[in-house]
Amino acid sequence: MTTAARLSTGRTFQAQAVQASAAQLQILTDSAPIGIFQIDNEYRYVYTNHRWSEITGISAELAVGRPWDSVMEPEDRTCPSPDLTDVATLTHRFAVLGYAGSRNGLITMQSIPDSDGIAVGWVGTLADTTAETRAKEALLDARDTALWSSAMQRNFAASASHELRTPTASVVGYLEEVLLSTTLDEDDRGLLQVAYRNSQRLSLLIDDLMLLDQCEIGAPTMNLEPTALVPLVDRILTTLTAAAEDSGVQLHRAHANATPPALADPARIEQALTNLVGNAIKFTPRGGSVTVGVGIGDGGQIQVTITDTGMGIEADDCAKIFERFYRSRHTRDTAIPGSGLGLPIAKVMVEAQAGSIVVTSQPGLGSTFAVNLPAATAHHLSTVSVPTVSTKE
Amino acid sequence: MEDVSTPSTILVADDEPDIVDLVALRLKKTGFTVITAVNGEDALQTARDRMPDLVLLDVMMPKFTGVEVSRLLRSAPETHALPVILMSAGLFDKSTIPDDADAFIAKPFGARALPALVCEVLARTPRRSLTRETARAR
Repeated sequence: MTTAARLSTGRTFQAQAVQASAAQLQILTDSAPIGIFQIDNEYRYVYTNHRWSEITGISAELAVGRPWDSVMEPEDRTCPSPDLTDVATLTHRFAVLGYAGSRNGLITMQSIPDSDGIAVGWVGTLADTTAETRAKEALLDARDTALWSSAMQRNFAASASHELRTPTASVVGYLEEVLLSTTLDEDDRGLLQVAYRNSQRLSLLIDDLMLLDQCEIGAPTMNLEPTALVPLVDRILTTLTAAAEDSGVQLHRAHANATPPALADPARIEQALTNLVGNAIKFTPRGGSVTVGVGIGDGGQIQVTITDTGMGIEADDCAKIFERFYRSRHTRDTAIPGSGLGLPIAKVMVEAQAGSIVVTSQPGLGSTFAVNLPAATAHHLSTVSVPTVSTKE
Repeated sequence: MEDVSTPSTILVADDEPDIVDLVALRLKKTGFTVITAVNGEDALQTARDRMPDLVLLDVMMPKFTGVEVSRLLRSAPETHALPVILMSAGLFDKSTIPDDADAFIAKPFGARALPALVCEVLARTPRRSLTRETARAR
Protein backbone atom coordinates (compact mmCIF):
# COMPACT_ATOMS: atom_id res chain seq x y z
CA MET A 1 0.00 0.00 0.00
CA THR A 2 1.36 3.41 -0.98
CA THR A 3 1.81 6.15 1.53
CA ALA A 4 -0.91 8.15 -0.23
CA ALA A 5 -3.25 5.21 -0.16
CA ARG A 6 -2.42 4.63 3.52
CA LEU A 7 -3.13 8.31 4.27
CA SER A 8 -6.37 8.19 2.33
CA THR A 9 -7.49 5.10 4.20
CA GLY A 10 -6.57 6.88 7.49
CA ARG A 11 -8.76 9.88 6.55
CA THR A 12 -11.60 7.58 5.65
CA PHE A 13 -11.30 5.92 9.03
CA GLN A 14 -11.20 9.32 10.69
CA ALA A 15 -14.25 10.48 8.72
CA GLN A 16 -16.06 7.29 9.59
CA ALA A 17 -15.11 7.70 13.23
CA VAL A 18 -16.38 11.29 13.22
CA GLN A 19 -19.59 10.20 11.54
CA ALA A 20 -20.00 7.39 14.04
CA SER A 21 -19.50 9.67 17.04
CA ALA A 22 -21.88 12.27 15.54
CA ALA A 23 -24.49 9.54 15.16
CA GLN A 24 -23.87 8.43 18.75
CA LEU A 25 -24.22 12.01 19.92
CA GLN A 26 -27.45 12.31 17.92
CA ILE A 27 -28.78 9.15 19.62
CA LEU A 28 -27.69 10.46 23.00
CA THR A 29 -29.24 13.90 22.58
CA ASP A 30 -32.41 12.51 21.04
CA SER A 31 -32.92 10.19 24.00
CA ALA A 32 -32.13 12.93 26.55
CA PRO A 33 -35.03 13.72 28.84
CA ILE A 34 -34.46 17.44 28.31
CA GLY A 35 -34.79 19.57 25.18
CA ILE A 36 -31.43 20.26 23.52
CA PHE A 37 -30.83 22.71 20.68
CA GLN A 38 -28.24 24.70 18.80
CA ILE A 39 -28.71 28.09 17.15
CA ASP A 40 -26.44 29.88 14.73
CA ASN A 41 -25.06 33.40 14.86
CA GLU A 42 -28.31 34.73 13.35
CA TYR A 43 -30.26 33.20 16.23
CA ARG A 44 -31.87 30.54 14.05
CA TYR A 45 -32.24 26.90 15.00
CA VAL A 46 -29.78 24.56 13.33
CA TYR A 47 -30.43 21.54 15.53
CA THR A 48 -33.15 20.43 17.93
CA ASN A 49 -33.55 17.05 19.66
CA HIS A 50 -36.61 14.84 20.09
CA ARG A 51 -37.54 16.18 23.53
CA TRP A 52 -37.34 19.77 22.26
CA SER A 53 -39.97 18.84 19.63
CA GLU A 54 -42.13 17.22 22.33
CA ILE A 55 -42.09 20.37 24.40
CA THR A 56 -42.60 22.87 21.58
CA GLY A 57 -44.81 20.75 19.34
CA ILE A 58 -42.51 21.62 16.40
CA SER A 59 -40.72 18.86 14.48
CA ALA A 60 -36.93 19.03 14.00
CA GLU A 61 -37.34 19.58 10.23
CA LEU A 62 -39.66 22.54 10.74
CA ALA A 63 -37.52 24.00 13.50
CA VAL A 64 -34.44 24.48 11.36
CA GLY A 65 -34.13 28.09 10.23
CA ARG A 66 -36.73 29.47 12.64
CA PRO A 67 -35.80 32.40 14.93
CA TRP A 68 -34.83 31.21 18.42
CA ASP A 69 -37.69 33.00 20.19
CA SER A 70 -40.40 31.85 17.74
CA VAL A 71 -41.36 29.09 20.21
CA MET A 72 -42.42 31.69 22.79
CA GLU A 73 -45.78 33.42 23.19
CA PRO A 74 -45.31 36.96 21.75
CA GLU A 75 -45.59 38.66 25.17
CA ASP A 76 -42.72 36.50 26.44
CA ARG A 77 -40.29 37.47 23.64
CA THR A 78 -38.93 40.08 25.98
CA CYS A 79 -35.48 38.60 26.33
CA PRO A 80 -32.89 40.59 24.36
CA SER A 81 -31.11 38.56 21.70
CA PRO A 82 -27.88 37.18 23.09
CA ASP A 83 -24.78 39.28 22.59
CA LEU A 84 -22.48 37.62 20.05
CA THR A 85 -19.35 39.41 21.17
CA ASP A 86 -19.70 38.25 24.73
CA VAL A 87 -19.30 34.67 25.82
CA ALA A 88 -22.17 34.23 28.15
CA THR A 89 -24.95 32.10 29.50
CA LEU A 90 -28.57 33.09 29.32
CA THR A 91 -31.73 31.82 30.96
CA HIS A 92 -35.26 32.79 30.05
CA ARG A 93 -38.67 31.57 31.23
CA PHE A 94 -41.60 31.70 28.83
CA ALA A 95 -45.01 30.33 27.87
CA VAL A 96 -44.73 27.96 24.89
CA LEU A 97 -46.39 29.30 21.73
CA GLY A 98 -49.68 27.66 20.81
CA TYR A 99 -50.63 26.24 24.22
CA ALA A 100 -52.62 29.25 25.48
CA GLY A 101 -50.36 29.65 28.47
CA SER A 102 -50.83 26.05 29.60
CA ARG A 103 -47.26 24.99 28.87
CA ASN A 104 -44.16 26.69 30.20
CA GLY A 105 -40.52 26.37 29.29
CA LEU A 106 -37.12 27.42 30.58
CA ILE A 107 -34.26 27.99 28.14
CA THR A 108 -30.70 27.88 29.41
CA MET A 109 -28.02 28.48 26.79
CA GLN A 110 -24.32 28.96 26.46
CA SER A 111 -22.49 30.67 23.63
CA ILE A 112 -20.03 28.76 21.42
CA PRO A 113 -17.01 31.01 20.93
CA ASP A 114 -14.62 30.77 17.95
CA SER A 115 -10.83 31.14 18.35
CA ASP A 116 -11.26 34.96 18.51
CA GLY A 117 -13.85 34.72 21.28
CA ILE A 118 -16.75 35.73 19.03
CA ALA A 119 -19.86 33.60 19.39
CA VAL A 120 -20.60 31.52 16.34
CA GLY A 121 -23.76 30.16 17.85
CA TRP A 122 -25.33 28.87 21.01
CA VAL A 123 -26.16 25.51 22.49
CA GLY A 124 -28.77 25.15 25.11
CA THR A 125 -31.39 23.13 26.90
CA LEU A 126 -35.12 23.57 27.06
CA ALA A 127 -36.91 22.30 30.16
CA ASP A 128 -40.67 21.85 30.51
CA THR A 129 -41.48 23.86 33.65
CA THR A 130 -45.27 23.57 33.40
CA ALA A 131 -45.64 21.57 36.63
CA GLU A 132 -43.27 23.85 38.51
CA THR A 133 -45.07 26.96 37.24
CA ARG A 134 -48.48 25.49 38.14
CA ALA A 135 -47.29 24.67 41.64
CA LYS A 136 -45.97 28.20 42.08
CA GLU A 137 -49.22 29.68 40.75
CA ALA A 138 -51.26 27.42 43.01
CA LEU A 139 -49.24 28.64 45.99
CA LEU A 140 -49.78 32.27 45.01
CA ASP A 141 -53.48 31.58 44.43
CA ALA A 142 -53.76 29.96 47.84
CA ARG A 143 -52.06 32.95 49.43
CA ASP A 144 -54.35 35.39 47.59
CA THR A 145 -57.41 33.37 48.59
CA ALA A 146 -56.33 33.36 52.21
CA LEU A 147 -55.70 37.11 52.17
CA TRP A 148 -59.01 37.70 50.41
CA SER A 149 -61.05 35.58 52.79
CA SER A 150 -59.45 37.20 55.80
CA ALA A 151 -60.27 40.65 54.38
CA MET A 152 -63.77 39.43 53.51
CA GLN A 153 -64.25 38.19 57.04
CA ARG A 154 -63.28 41.58 58.38
CA ASN A 155 -65.52 43.38 55.91
CA PHE A 156 -68.37 40.98 56.60
CA ALA A 157 -68.85 42.14 60.17
CA ALA A 158 -68.94 45.77 59.06
CA SER A 159 -71.29 45.28 56.09
CA ALA A 160 -73.55 42.78 57.86
CA SER A 161 -73.85 45.17 60.77
CA HIS A 162 -74.89 48.00 58.48
CA GLU A 163 -77.25 45.89 56.40
CA LEU A 164 -78.98 44.37 59.42
CA ARG A 165 -79.17 47.47 61.56
CA THR A 166 -80.60 49.75 58.86
CA PRO A 167 -83.94 47.93 58.48
CA THR A 168 -84.03 47.19 62.22
CA ALA A 169 -83.64 50.90 62.91
CA SER A 170 -86.75 51.56 60.81
CA VAL A 171 -88.78 48.78 62.46
CA VAL A 172 -87.89 49.82 66.01
CA GLY A 173 -88.24 53.51 65.22
CA TYR A 174 -91.64 53.45 63.52
CA LEU A 175 -93.10 51.09 66.14
CA GLU A 176 -91.87 53.50 68.78
CA GLU A 177 -93.57 56.38 66.98
CA VAL A 178 -96.91 54.54 66.78
CA LEU A 179 -96.71 53.56 70.45
CA LEU A 180 -96.23 57.22 71.36
CA SER A 181 -99.64 57.97 69.85
CA THR A 182 -102.31 58.84 72.41
CA THR A 183 -105.23 57.73 70.22
CA LEU A 184 -104.12 54.12 70.04
CA ASP A 185 -106.69 51.46 71.06
CA GLU A 186 -105.43 49.60 74.17
CA ASP A 187 -105.69 46.14 72.55
CA ASP A 188 -103.75 47.34 69.54
CA ARG A 189 -101.19 48.95 71.82
CA GLY A 190 -100.68 45.59 73.54
CA LEU A 191 -100.12 43.84 70.23
CA LEU A 192 -97.74 46.53 69.01
CA GLN A 193 -95.83 46.36 72.26
CA VAL A 194 -95.12 42.68 71.62
CA ALA A 195 -93.81 43.60 68.17
CA TYR A 196 -91.76 46.44 69.63
CA ARG A 197 -90.27 44.30 72.42
CA ASN A 198 -89.22 41.68 69.90
CA SER A 199 -87.81 44.20 67.46
CA GLN A 200 -85.67 45.53 70.29
CA ARG A 201 -84.60 42.01 71.14
CA LEU A 202 -83.63 41.44 67.51
CA SER A 203 -81.70 44.69 67.52
CA LEU A 204 -79.75 43.70 70.65
CA LEU A 205 -79.07 40.27 69.19
CA ILE A 206 -77.62 41.85 66.05
CA ASP A 207 -75.42 44.12 68.15
CA ASP A 208 -74.17 41.18 70.22
CA LEU A 209 -73.47 39.05 67.16
CA MET A 210 -71.54 41.84 65.51
CA LEU A 211 -69.60 42.49 68.68
CA LEU A 212 -68.65 38.84 68.92
CA ASP A 213 -67.66 38.66 65.27
CA GLN A 214 -65.65 41.85 65.52
CA CYS A 215 -63.83 40.51 68.54
CA GLU A 216 -62.99 37.10 67.13
CA ILE A 217 -61.41 38.55 64.03
CA GLY A 218 -60.12 41.62 65.81
CA ALA A 219 -57.81 40.19 68.46
CA PRO A 220 -54.83 41.98 66.90
CA THR A 221 -56.70 45.27 67.11
CA MET A 222 -56.99 45.30 70.91
CA ASN A 223 -55.68 48.61 72.22
CA LEU A 224 -53.80 47.34 75.22
CA GLU A 225 -52.70 49.92 77.76
CA PRO A 226 -52.14 50.08 81.51
CA THR A 227 -55.70 50.18 82.84
CA ALA A 228 -56.75 50.88 86.42
CA LEU A 229 -59.58 48.44 86.99
CA VAL A 230 -61.00 49.85 90.26
CA PRO A 231 -62.47 53.05 88.76
CA LEU A 232 -63.56 51.07 85.69
CA VAL A 233 -65.40 48.49 87.83
CA ASP A 234 -66.95 51.24 89.97
CA ARG A 235 -68.25 52.89 86.82
CA ILE A 236 -69.86 49.59 85.74
CA LEU A 237 -71.47 49.20 89.18
CA THR A 238 -72.93 52.72 88.93
CA THR A 239 -74.29 51.99 85.45
CA LEU A 240 -75.90 48.75 86.61
CA THR A 241 -77.33 50.09 89.89
CA ALA A 242 -80.76 50.72 88.35
CA ALA A 243 -80.93 47.22 86.82
CA ALA A 244 -79.93 45.68 90.18
CA GLU A 245 -82.56 47.70 92.03
CA ASP A 246 -85.22 46.63 89.53
CA SER A 247 -84.29 43.00 90.17
CA GLY A 248 -84.14 43.45 93.94
CA VAL A 249 -80.44 42.49 93.96
CA GLN A 250 -77.86 44.27 96.11
CA LEU A 251 -74.56 45.31 94.50
CA HIS A 252 -71.40 45.30 96.64
CA ARG A 253 -67.82 46.31 95.94
CA ALA A 254 -64.94 44.52 97.62
CA HIS A 255 -61.66 45.81 96.20
CA ALA A 256 -58.25 44.97 97.62
CA ASN A 257 -56.02 47.93 98.45
CA ALA A 258 -53.59 49.36 95.90
CA THR A 259 -54.07 46.97 93.02
CA PRO A 260 -51.66 47.77 90.18
CA PRO A 261 -53.06 48.47 86.71
CA ALA A 262 -53.75 45.63 84.28
CA LEU A 263 -52.61 45.52 80.67
CA ALA A 264 -55.99 45.68 78.94
CA ASP A 265 -58.12 47.38 76.32
CA PRO A 266 -60.27 49.68 78.53
CA ALA A 267 -63.35 49.72 76.25
CA ARG A 268 -63.30 45.98 75.63
CA ILE A 269 -62.66 44.96 79.23
CA GLU A 270 -65.47 47.28 80.33
CA GLN A 271 -67.80 45.54 77.87
CA ALA A 272 -66.73 42.08 79.10
CA LEU A 273 -67.09 42.97 82.79
CA THR A 274 -70.45 44.69 82.16
CA ASN A 275 -71.72 41.49 80.56
CA LEU A 276 -70.47 39.39 83.50
CA VAL A 277 -71.92 41.68 86.19
CA GLY A 278 -75.18 42.08 84.24
CA ASN A 279 -75.36 38.31 83.91
CA ALA A 280 -74.80 37.84 87.66
CA ILE A 281 -77.62 40.29 88.44
CA LYS A 282 -79.93 38.52 85.98
CA PHE A 283 -79.34 35.08 87.49
CA THR A 284 -79.62 36.14 91.11
CA PRO A 285 -83.10 35.90 92.63
CA ARG A 286 -84.72 38.88 94.38
CA GLY A 287 -83.14 39.49 97.78
CA GLY A 288 -79.74 38.15 96.71
CA SER A 289 -76.51 40.01 96.14
CA VAL A 290 -73.66 40.42 93.65
CA THR A 291 -70.19 41.32 94.90
CA VAL A 292 -67.47 42.60 92.59
CA GLY A 293 -63.86 42.90 93.70
CA VAL A 294 -60.57 43.87 92.09
CA GLY A 295 -57.39 42.34 93.51
CA ILE A 296 -54.28 40.32 92.75
CA GLY A 297 -54.76 36.69 91.75
CA ASP A 298 -52.43 33.72 91.34
CA GLY A 299 -49.14 34.44 89.63
CA GLY A 300 -49.46 38.18 90.13
CA GLN A 301 -52.25 38.57 87.59
CA ILE A 302 -54.86 41.23 88.13
CA GLN A 303 -58.13 39.56 89.04
CA VAL A 304 -61.71 40.77 89.00
CA THR A 305 -64.13 38.45 90.79
CA ILE A 306 -67.88 38.59 90.34
CA THR A 307 -69.64 36.55 93.01
CA ASP A 308 -73.40 36.09 93.11
CA THR A 309 -75.81 34.34 95.44
CA GLY A 310 -77.78 33.11 92.46
CA MET A 311 -79.03 29.79 91.25
CA GLY A 312 -75.54 28.46 90.51
CA ILE A 313 -74.46 26.42 87.49
CA GLU A 314 -74.52 22.63 87.21
CA ALA A 315 -71.03 21.15 86.66
CA ASP A 316 -72.09 19.93 83.20
CA ASP A 317 -73.06 23.44 82.21
CA CYS A 318 -69.91 25.22 83.43
CA ALA A 319 -68.00 24.79 80.16
CA LYS A 320 -71.06 25.14 77.93
CA ILE A 321 -72.19 28.53 79.22
CA PHE A 322 -69.49 30.16 77.09
CA GLU A 323 -70.83 28.60 73.89
CA ARG A 324 -72.84 30.81 71.60
CA PHE A 325 -76.60 30.63 72.17
CA TYR A 326 -76.22 28.02 74.88
CA ARG A 327 -78.91 28.34 77.50
CA SER A 328 -79.07 25.89 80.38
CA ARG A 329 -82.26 23.97 81.01
CA HIS A 330 -82.78 26.05 84.14
CA THR A 331 -82.46 29.28 82.16
CA ARG A 332 -85.02 28.09 79.66
CA ASP A 333 -87.40 26.88 82.38
CA THR A 334 -87.29 30.18 84.23
CA ALA A 335 -87.58 32.16 80.99
CA ILE A 336 -84.72 34.49 81.88
CA PRO A 337 -84.32 36.67 78.79
CA GLY A 338 -81.04 37.02 76.95
CA SER A 339 -79.40 36.57 73.58
CA GLY A 340 -77.21 33.72 74.76
CA LEU A 341 -74.21 35.76 73.63
CA GLY A 342 -73.29 37.77 76.72
CA LEU A 343 -70.87 35.22 78.13
CA PRO A 344 -69.30 34.20 74.79
CA ILE A 345 -68.61 37.90 74.16
CA ALA A 346 -67.01 38.30 77.59
CA LYS A 347 -64.84 35.22 77.06
CA VAL A 348 -63.69 36.19 73.56
CA MET A 349 -62.90 39.74 74.68
CA VAL A 350 -60.94 38.66 77.75
CA GLU A 351 -58.98 36.00 75.87
CA ALA A 352 -58.13 38.43 73.08
CA GLN A 353 -56.37 40.46 75.80
CA ALA A 354 -54.32 37.45 76.95
CA GLY A 355 -56.62 36.97 79.92
CA SER A 356 -58.83 34.13 81.15
CA ILE A 357 -62.17 33.56 82.85
CA VAL A 358 -62.52 30.85 85.52
CA VAL A 359 -65.93 29.80 86.81
CA THR A 360 -66.60 28.09 90.13
CA SER A 361 -70.14 27.36 91.13
CA GLN A 362 -72.30 25.52 93.62
CA PRO A 363 -75.79 24.85 92.33
CA GLY A 364 -78.33 26.55 94.54
CA LEU A 365 -75.73 28.70 96.31
CA GLY A 366 -74.17 30.88 93.66
CA SER A 367 -71.28 31.30 91.26
CA THR A 368 -67.99 33.15 91.05
CA PHE A 369 -66.57 34.34 87.75
CA ALA A 370 -62.89 35.26 88.07
CA VAL A 371 -61.39 37.35 85.27
CA ASN A 372 -57.59 37.24 85.18
CA LEU A 373 -55.62 39.81 83.23
CA PRO A 374 -51.86 40.37 82.88
CA ALA A 375 -50.49 43.11 85.14
CA ALA A 376 -48.99 46.10 83.35
CA THR A 377 -45.21 46.00 83.80
CA ALA A 378 -42.93 48.95 84.51
CA HIS A 379 -42.11 48.97 80.81
CA HIS A 380 -45.78 49.34 79.89
CA LEU A 381 -46.24 52.09 82.46
CA SER A 382 -43.35 54.09 81.06
CA THR A 383 -44.65 54.08 77.49
CA VAL A 384 -47.59 56.11 76.32
CA SER A 385 -49.00 53.51 73.97
CA VAL A 386 -48.36 49.83 73.89
CA PRO A 387 -48.11 47.74 70.72
CA THR A 388 -50.98 45.33 70.24
CA VAL A 389 -50.69 41.75 71.39
CA SER A 390 -52.29 39.16 69.18
CA THR A 391 -51.14 35.92 70.71
CA LYS A 392 -52.15 34.23 73.88
CA GLU A 393 -50.95 31.24 75.83
CA MET B 1 -81.76 90.22 62.39
CA GLU B 2 -82.83 86.72 63.14
CA ASP B 3 -85.46 86.20 65.78
CA VAL B 4 -84.18 83.99 68.58
CA SER B 5 -87.53 82.17 68.66
CA THR B 6 -87.26 81.07 65.02
CA PRO B 7 -87.14 77.26 65.05
CA SER B 8 -83.73 75.90 64.14
CA THR B 9 -83.45 74.28 60.72
CA ILE B 10 -81.95 70.82 60.65
CA LEU B 11 -80.62 69.19 57.49
CA VAL B 12 -81.11 65.41 57.57
CA ALA B 13 -79.11 63.40 55.01
CA ASP B 14 -79.49 59.66 54.57
CA ASP B 15 -79.84 57.42 51.51
CA GLU B 16 -82.51 55.36 53.31
CA PRO B 17 -85.81 57.23 52.73
CA ASP B 18 -87.50 55.46 55.67
CA ILE B 19 -84.80 56.68 58.02
CA VAL B 20 -84.97 60.23 56.63
CA ASP B 21 -88.75 60.26 57.19
CA LEU B 22 -88.43 58.84 60.70
CA VAL B 23 -85.74 61.31 61.75
CA ALA B 24 -87.67 64.19 60.13
CA LEU B 25 -90.86 63.15 61.94
CA ARG B 26 -89.14 63.12 65.30
CA LEU B 27 -87.40 66.43 64.79
CA LYS B 28 -90.60 68.11 63.53
CA LYS B 29 -92.46 66.84 66.60
CA THR B 30 -89.77 68.44 68.73
CA GLY B 31 -90.37 71.73 66.88
CA PHE B 32 -87.51 71.88 64.42
CA THR B 33 -87.79 72.80 60.76
CA VAL B 34 -86.40 69.92 58.71
CA ILE B 35 -84.86 69.85 55.25
CA THR B 36 -83.58 66.63 53.71
CA ALA B 37 -80.97 65.25 51.34
CA VAL B 38 -80.62 61.76 49.84
CA ASN B 39 -76.85 61.49 49.34
CA GLY B 40 -73.59 63.16 50.25
CA GLU B 41 -73.40 65.46 47.26
CA ASP B 42 -77.00 66.56 47.76
CA ALA B 43 -76.28 67.14 51.47
CA LEU B 44 -73.25 69.32 50.71
CA GLN B 45 -75.15 71.42 48.16
CA THR B 46 -78.21 71.81 50.40
CA ALA B 47 -76.04 72.79 53.36
CA ARG B 48 -74.34 75.50 51.26
CA ASP B 49 -77.61 76.77 49.73
CA ARG B 50 -79.88 76.68 52.74
CA MET B 51 -77.45 77.22 55.62
CA PRO B 52 -79.22 75.07 58.22
CA ASP B 53 -78.45 75.38 61.95
CA LEU B 54 -77.23 71.80 62.15
CA VAL B 55 -76.62 68.87 59.82
CA LEU B 56 -77.31 65.27 60.63
CA LEU B 57 -75.35 63.01 58.28
CA ASP B 58 -75.52 59.29 57.70
CA VAL B 59 -71.96 57.94 57.46
CA MET B 60 -72.48 55.46 54.61
CA MET B 61 -74.02 57.51 51.80
CA PRO B 62 -73.41 57.41 48.06
CA LYS B 63 -71.40 60.11 46.24
CA PHE B 64 -69.86 61.50 49.44
CA THR B 65 -69.84 59.71 52.77
CA GLY B 66 -71.03 61.59 55.85
CA VAL B 67 -67.41 61.83 57.00
CA GLU B 68 -66.38 63.41 53.67
CA VAL B 69 -69.30 65.86 53.74
CA SER B 70 -68.35 66.79 57.29
CA ARG B 71 -64.73 67.49 56.23
CA LEU B 72 -65.83 69.50 53.19
CA LEU B 73 -68.16 71.61 55.33
CA ARG B 74 -65.35 72.23 57.82
CA SER B 75 -62.95 73.28 55.09
CA ALA B 76 -65.20 76.05 53.67
CA PRO B 77 -65.31 79.39 55.54
CA GLU B 78 -69.11 79.72 55.13
CA THR B 79 -69.83 76.34 56.67
CA HIS B 80 -66.84 75.64 58.90
CA ALA B 81 -68.77 76.34 62.13
CA LEU B 82 -71.88 74.39 61.15
CA PRO B 83 -72.59 71.75 63.84
CA VAL B 84 -72.42 68.21 62.45
CA ILE B 85 -73.85 65.03 63.93
CA LEU B 86 -72.90 61.75 62.25
CA MET B 87 -75.18 58.75 62.46
CA SER B 88 -74.48 55.20 61.37
CA ALA B 89 -75.68 51.63 61.52
CA GLY B 90 -72.12 50.42 60.98
CA LEU B 91 -69.54 49.18 63.42
CA PHE B 92 -67.76 52.04 65.05
CA ASP B 93 -64.68 52.35 67.09
CA LYS B 94 -64.02 55.62 68.84
CA SER B 95 -60.95 55.95 66.64
CA THR B 96 -62.96 55.88 63.39
CA ILE B 97 -65.22 58.79 64.32
CA PRO B 98 -63.66 61.96 62.97
CA ASP B 99 -62.71 64.54 65.58
CA ASP B 100 -64.32 67.36 63.66
CA ALA B 101 -67.87 65.98 64.02
CA ASP B 102 -69.71 67.45 67.00
CA ALA B 103 -71.41 64.19 67.94
CA PHE B 104 -72.11 60.66 66.82
CA ILE B 105 -75.24 58.56 67.25
CA ALA B 106 -75.54 54.84 66.45
CA LYS B 107 -78.59 53.47 64.69
CA PRO B 108 -81.07 52.31 65.83
CA PHE B 109 -81.70 55.22 68.21
CA GLY B 110 -84.58 55.71 70.61
CA ALA B 111 -87.41 58.16 69.93
CA ARG B 112 -86.09 60.67 72.44
CA ALA B 113 -82.35 60.14 72.05
CA LEU B 114 -81.99 61.89 68.69
CA PRO B 115 -83.94 65.13 69.37
CA ALA B 116 -82.20 65.29 72.76
CA LEU B 117 -78.77 65.02 71.11
CA VAL B 118 -79.67 67.68 68.51
CA CYS B 119 -80.81 70.07 71.29
CA GLU B 120 -77.64 69.39 73.27
CA VAL B 121 -75.32 70.04 70.33
CA LEU B 122 -77.22 73.21 69.38
CA ALA B 123 -77.02 74.43 72.99
CA ARG B 124 -73.26 74.04 73.20
CA THR B 125 -72.59 75.51 69.75
CA PRO B 126 -72.73 79.30 69.52
CA ARG B 127 -75.42 80.52 67.14
CA ARG B 128 -73.77 81.55 63.92
CA SER B 129 -76.45 84.02 62.90
CA LEU B 130 -73.84 86.46 61.63
CA THR B 131 -72.26 83.86 59.38
CA ARG B 132 -75.65 82.75 58.20
CA GLU B 133 -76.89 86.28 57.54
CA THR B 134 -73.71 87.01 55.57
CA ALA B 135 -74.23 83.94 53.45
CA ARG B 136 -77.88 84.70 52.81
CA ALA B 137 -77.14 88.29 51.81
CA ARG B 138 -74.93 87.13 48.94
